[in-house]
Amino acid sequence: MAERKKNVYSRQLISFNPNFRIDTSNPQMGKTGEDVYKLYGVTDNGETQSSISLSSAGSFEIYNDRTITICGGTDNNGKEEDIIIIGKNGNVSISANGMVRIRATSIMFEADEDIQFKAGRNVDIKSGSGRTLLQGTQLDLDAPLGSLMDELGQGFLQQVFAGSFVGADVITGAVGGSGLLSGVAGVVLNKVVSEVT
Amino acid sequence: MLDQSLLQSHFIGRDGFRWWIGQIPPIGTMGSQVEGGGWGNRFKVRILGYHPYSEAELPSEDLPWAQVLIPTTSGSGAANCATGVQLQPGDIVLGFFLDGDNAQIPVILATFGRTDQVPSATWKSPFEAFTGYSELIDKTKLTPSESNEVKANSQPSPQNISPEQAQQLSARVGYEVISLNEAIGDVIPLANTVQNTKVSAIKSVITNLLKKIKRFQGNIQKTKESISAAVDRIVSISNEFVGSIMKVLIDGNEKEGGSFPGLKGLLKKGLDLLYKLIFGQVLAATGSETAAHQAGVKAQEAMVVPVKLLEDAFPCIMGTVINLLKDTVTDIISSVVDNVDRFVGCAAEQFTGSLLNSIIGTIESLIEGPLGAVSNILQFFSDFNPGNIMRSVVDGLASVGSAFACNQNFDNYVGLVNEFIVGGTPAFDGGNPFPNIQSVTNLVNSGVDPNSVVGCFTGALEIASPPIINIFGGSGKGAKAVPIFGNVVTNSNGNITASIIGAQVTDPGSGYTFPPFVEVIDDNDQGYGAVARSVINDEGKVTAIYFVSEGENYSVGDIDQYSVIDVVVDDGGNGYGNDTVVTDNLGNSYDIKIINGRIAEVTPLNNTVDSLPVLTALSDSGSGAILRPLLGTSRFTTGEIQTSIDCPI
Repeated sequence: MAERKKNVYSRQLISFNPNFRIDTSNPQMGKTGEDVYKLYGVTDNGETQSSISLSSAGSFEIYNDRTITICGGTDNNGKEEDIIIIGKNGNVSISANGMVRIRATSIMFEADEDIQFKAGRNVDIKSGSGRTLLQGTQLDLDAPLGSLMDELGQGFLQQVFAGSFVGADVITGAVGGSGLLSGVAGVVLNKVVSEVT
Repeated sequence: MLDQSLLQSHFIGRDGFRWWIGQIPPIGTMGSQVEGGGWGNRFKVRILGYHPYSEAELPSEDLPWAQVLIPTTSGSGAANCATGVQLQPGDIVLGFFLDGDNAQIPVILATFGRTDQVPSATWKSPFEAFTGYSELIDKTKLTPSESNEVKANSQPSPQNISPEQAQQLSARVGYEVISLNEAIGDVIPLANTVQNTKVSAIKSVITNLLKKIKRFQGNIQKTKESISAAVDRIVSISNEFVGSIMKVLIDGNEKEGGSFPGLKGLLKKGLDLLYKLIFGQVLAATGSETAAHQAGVKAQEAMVVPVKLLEDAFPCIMGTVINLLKDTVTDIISSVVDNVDRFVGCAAEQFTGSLLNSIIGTIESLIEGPLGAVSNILQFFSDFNPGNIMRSVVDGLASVGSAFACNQNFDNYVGLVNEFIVGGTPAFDGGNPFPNIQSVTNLVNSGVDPNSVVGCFTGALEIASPPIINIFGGSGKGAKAVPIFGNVVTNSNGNITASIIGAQVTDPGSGYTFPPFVEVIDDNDQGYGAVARSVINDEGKVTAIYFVSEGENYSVGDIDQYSVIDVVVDDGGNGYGNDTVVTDNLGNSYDIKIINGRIAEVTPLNNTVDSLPVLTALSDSGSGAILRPLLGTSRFTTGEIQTSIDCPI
C-alpha cells in the first residue's frame, strides 16, 4: 500500500544554506501533527539546533539547545511592563531541572484564591532591614519541632511533658539549653552514623 | 570587422540575442570573489557548446565572469533591500550574452533545480554534475540534500519527533531523519502542591535517563555523568519522602484518620505510665505516698534531657538519611540501567518501593540510639516498631494531609495535568501509585523480590502492539475509546503501520464538566503525531473524539470500514449562501444547513473513509468555517454537543 497521503505541493521552502531554513506546509509528521511552518537553524558543528515552529494541531514550539534569552524594554521607563507572559485560560507551568531564580527590586505574588509553597526540604523566608509579616484572618502552625513551637509552648518536649509532674522551669531550662543538648545529640548521632556506615 | 561594427546598433537584442546554458565551476576557481573581496554578484561559468570540455584546454580559473541578474522581488541592495544570491558550484545556469553575438559579457538569468538523480559527487571534470557543498559551505547536522523537487523526500527538515523515533524512521525512509530537539519525547513532571507527584517525577527521571543512555551508545563518560545527575535528582526528590515519613513518626497520623499517636503521643503516655510504675514501686517499698510521688516526679524529670536529645536528633536524622541515600540510589539506578529497557509504571512503583524501604531502614538505624535514651518511657509499648509504623503509612504519602482550609475549593486542584511530553501533549501520570508502593515496600523489607509476586515486564517489546486511547481529566471518569486506523502502509520491511484517523467511543463515562484530554499511548514508542480532542454533551458524557492530526507509523490493530458519522461545526464562519458546498479531500459530499450566513449543521452522506478527511466549505461569499469530522460505525445518539476543547499545550 502507498505511503500516507501527503500534500507535498503546498510546501514552500527557502533553505538559505545548511545552517538556516524557513519551511512552510511541510507534510512531514511531528508529535503534534504536520508542520505549518518551521524556522530552523543549526551551528556549523551541529552542536546547537534552534527552531521556532507551529504544528497542524496548533502546538507552537521554541527550541534551542543552548541558552534562550528574552530581553525587552531597553527603552522603557521603570513603570512599564517590559515582558508579559499570559496564559489566557489555563495554567502557566515553569519546570527546571535546576533552580528557578527570580530577582527583582520587588517581587509581587497575587492570587485571587490561593498561594501555595511546597518544598521537599526547607522553606526559608528572610527579611533584611524590614519586617516579616504574616497577616490573615486565620494563622495556623502545624509542625512538631522548632523554636517557634517552643515559644508557643507547643514544642515537642513541652507537649510530651504536658500534664506530667515535671515543672515548667525544668522544661524551659531544657529548651533554653538546646544548644548544648544539640551538641550532645550531634555526638550521639555521629556515633550511630559511623556504626551504620 | 569594422563594417560589422558600424552595422551594430549596440542595443540589446537588435544585434542578435544568444541564450546559453552553462555550469558554475568549483568554488576554488573564484578567487577573491568568494573570499570577501569580490565585486558584484559574479560567478565563473563554463558555457555548453562555447567553452571546451577539457580543463587542460581552458582551466576553470580562466573562464569568464558572468553577472547574476536578481529578480525584482529580491531587491538590488538599494535602501537595504537585498536578498543573497544562492547559486552554488555545479549549478547548471541559464543565461544570455549582453553583447549578443560578440558573446563576451555573459549574464546568468536563472538556474535549473537539481533532482535527486544528480549524483552529489565532488568535481571530476567540466560539465559533470557535482556537489554544491564546498570548503565554504560544509554539511551540518541538517540532512544533506541537493535536490529541489516537489517530492516528499526533497530537502527534509528536522522533525518534531524524539531521537529514537527519528532513528527508527531513518531506517524506514532510507535517509537520515533529524530530531528537532533531543528533549522531544521526554516526560516533564509539572508542579503540584496538593498531590504527591514524586513517583511521577522519579519515573520521568529514570525514563529520560534510559533514553539518554541509549543515545550515548556506549559512551562511558557521558553515561556516568547522566547516571550521576539522575542520582542527584532522585536524592533531591526523596527529601519530601523523608520529611513526610518522619513527620508521621513524630506527630502520628490521627489527624489524617490513622491510629498512630506518634512518638509525641507515645512518650506522653509513657511518662504517665513511668510515674505510675515508680510511684507503685516506691509506695510498696516505703508505704509513703509523698515519697512515692517524689520518686515518680524525679523519674519523669530524669527523662527531660533524653527526650530533648531525641527532639534535637530528628532534624539531624533527616539530613543524614538524605546524605546516606546517594549510594543506595546509585545502586538501584545502576540495576535499572542494566536490566530495564522500558521504565513502565510498575517499574516506577518497584523503584519507589525499594527507595522508601531503604529510607525507612536508614531512619530506623539512625533513630535507634536516640530512642534507646528514652527506653525507660518506651518500655511500656513492647509492640512499638518504628519501621513497621513507617511502612504502614506509605500509602498515605499520596494525600495532601491537612493543608487545606475549610474555605478552599479542592475541586480547583482536581484533574490537574501532572505530566507533559516535550513536543507533544499532556500525559496521564497513572493515578495514585502509593497503595501499590506500600505493598512493594513491605515485600522488599521481607526479602521478597516484588517482581516475583507482581510481574512487571520491562524488557523490549518483541511484538508491536497497537496504540491505545486514554481519556483523562475533565473532572469525570470512565470514558473509553478505541482507535480507528487509516492510511495503512506496508513498509519495506513488511511491517504494516497506519495513522489514527478517529476513535470509536465505547464508553461515554460520566461526570465530565469540561472535555477531557485524549492521550494516544503507544507502548512501542513507534507512532507519533496523532492528536485528538473530545466532545462532551450536557449530561457530562463523552460523545465523540475527533482527530486534528492523524499521525503516522502506529502499529495497526483491527482495520474495519469506517465512515464519517457526524461533523462538529467548530466555527460556522460567515457570509455563506445557497451556493455553498461542503466536501472533503476524499471527494465525499455533505448536506448542510445555513442559518444567517453561518454553517449551522453538516450531515455526512454515508461516506466511507480510509484516511482522515479534511472538510472544506466552498463558497463565493462565505469564509471561516471550521468543520471537524467524527468517524465511527454508527450514529451517536448521546445528546446535543455542548462544547469541544483543544488539548492544552
